[in-house]
Amino acid sequence: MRSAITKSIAVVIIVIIIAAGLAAYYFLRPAPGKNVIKVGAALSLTGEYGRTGEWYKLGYEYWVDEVNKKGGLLGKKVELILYDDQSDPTTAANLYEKLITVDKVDLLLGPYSSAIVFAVSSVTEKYRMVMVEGGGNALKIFSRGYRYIFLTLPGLAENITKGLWDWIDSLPEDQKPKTLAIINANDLFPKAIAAGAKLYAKKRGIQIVLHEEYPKGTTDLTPVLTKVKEKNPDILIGGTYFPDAVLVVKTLKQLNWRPKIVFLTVGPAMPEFWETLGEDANGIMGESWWEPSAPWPGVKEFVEGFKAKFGKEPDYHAACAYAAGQVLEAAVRAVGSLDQDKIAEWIRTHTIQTVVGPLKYTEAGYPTLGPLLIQWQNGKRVIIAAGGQVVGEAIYPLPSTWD
Amino acid sequence: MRLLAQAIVNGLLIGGVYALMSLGLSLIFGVMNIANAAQAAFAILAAYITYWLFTLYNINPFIGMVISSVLLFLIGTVLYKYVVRRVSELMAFTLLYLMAMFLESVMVFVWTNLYRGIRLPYLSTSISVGGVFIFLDRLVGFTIAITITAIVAFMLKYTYFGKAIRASIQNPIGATLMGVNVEKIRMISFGLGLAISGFAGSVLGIIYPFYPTLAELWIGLMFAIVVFGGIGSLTGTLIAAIVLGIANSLVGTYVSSVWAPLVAFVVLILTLWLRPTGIMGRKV
Repeated sequence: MRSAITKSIAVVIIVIIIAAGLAAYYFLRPAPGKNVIKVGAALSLTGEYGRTGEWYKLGYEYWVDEVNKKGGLLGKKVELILYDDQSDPTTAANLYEKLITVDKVDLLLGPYSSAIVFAVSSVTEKYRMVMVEGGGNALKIFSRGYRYIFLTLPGLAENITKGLWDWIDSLPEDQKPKTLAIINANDLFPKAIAAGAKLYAKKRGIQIVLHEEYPKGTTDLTPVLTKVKEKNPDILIGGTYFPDAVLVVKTLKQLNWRPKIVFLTVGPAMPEFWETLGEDANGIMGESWWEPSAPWPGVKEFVEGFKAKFGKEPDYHAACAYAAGQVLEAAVRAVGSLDQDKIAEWIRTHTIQTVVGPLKYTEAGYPTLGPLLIQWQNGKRVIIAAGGQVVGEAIYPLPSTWD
Repeated sequence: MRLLAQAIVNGLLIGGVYALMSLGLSLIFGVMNIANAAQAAFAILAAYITYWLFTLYNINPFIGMVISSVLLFLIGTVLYKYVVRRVSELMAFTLLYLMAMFLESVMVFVWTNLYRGIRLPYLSTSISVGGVFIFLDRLVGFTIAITITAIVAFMLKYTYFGKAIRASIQNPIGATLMGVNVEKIRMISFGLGLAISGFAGSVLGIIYPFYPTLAELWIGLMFAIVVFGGIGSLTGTLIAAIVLGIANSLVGTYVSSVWAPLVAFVVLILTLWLRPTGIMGRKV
């Protein structure tokens, strides 16, 4: 009888001690994030966009490093919370919901690829949090009247081929290409590229002999390119990401055929393009939104500092990621607080100096500087056209066979 | 005309790889009536093993694929003896399905979901035959596929072991009465089935970029091929695979690549509706 009472008293006391301990822990611990500013983002670190997403990660990390070297933001250290969205829009949207509601981040940086930005921005707009991103530039993202999203790629996907057309315009009449084939994945960004390219081509009276879409994530472009080869166009434009850009070149080689001009997107701007394809990449043209030789203030320091930290030069993806950080930094410092509405208003009404150039925003949230046209020549990306001018010598036309 | 020839050649060559991928599945299905949902996952695992042997130890992928297939054979026999044999066919299917998911998670953990490829630059060209281009990597894949299929077919028809397998398919009780250790045959067949998929996976890794979740795309196609060809008939699987390969290629070339994956499912539905036993509907 006695031992039963003693036992129950002992149990009650133990429960009270545990409860008290937990209560003390929850109420007395320092409020999380009080001395730290949390910046959150999800990136495609694995999956189809993994290789490119990695560059954004480096750009963000470099920015956080640089800001903290300067004493942080508003006197507090900046901490980066980064998740992997595995190149999937639904996963990304859920992760941003988590960043906002669970991790309770103070600032947001954007994910990579138009489709993912499109999905995520609905979440961030719902919570009225500013998101600065250098990863998605299809016009559709900016046509919804959203007020909290800002782009650091200096232009839209629809205009991605502009450099190519500026260069074509400069060619003598008898050397101009006359026919065009466009191929693209059936996803937001590639479709935007195709739509824009068609408009540019039609304006110049160039005949579009084929426009073919292929499933996102396909690992076999043989049927598509066999068809293109049959049509024998002068120009091939591919609205691609990195994996399919590589696949296009490989498959063209296996079909032993090239059109006079091959223009692909995303892939050619990355150093991995030459690393993967070697000599086969020679002559391939692409867009770049930034090159290490860009003339803007701060670029040299960025390139050298990045190289010192990561052992390689940044590509345009890393530069746009860094620029996104720069935009947030400038706004927060100017406004003096983390108020998202004030930050949004400030970004919209000021020209911000970044490593990708002076960014001045339209009402919809994107800048209008325009892309560069680059071409791989002997292991180097050569800038052929910039800002509407031809600034380099191109290899043209490409040899029609590979032997 | 040349476009048609090119499309057919493309489809034929890739059909060989389809055949190799599905052969193991067909064997297991035929011998012990188990739908191995993990067949594609194991094939991709073999691809990763061959990839690792190649990139870490510089082992020639053609030797590497033999090593990974032997490994898969051993895994298969162990898996059969300690797991599959002890449960009902339905339970086996469920367990193998879970095994597939488990394998994928392990592969994602070890190798991450980045695209990998076993790159052999000397295979990245093609030979031209009358204006039609035969991709070298696919030709090699096709050759390996046909060779292994031929070896398996020869073994099944002419060796004691092969006859024992066929007996186990046709009449397990009769086979036992004739002195065949049916359980042992099944165990070896399961291992063999996985090993064949191991070759297929490695070949796949040479031709295409691969990643863990690719298995999910393949398993559906493999089942369609096995059903279309007739469960238990290895010849049927071979024919079905080549027909589907060519069909996929023709649809992709003449209609649109976006519709090509649908072909396998249309074929599957038509087969189940019109001739459920498949092309070669009898057992081996």
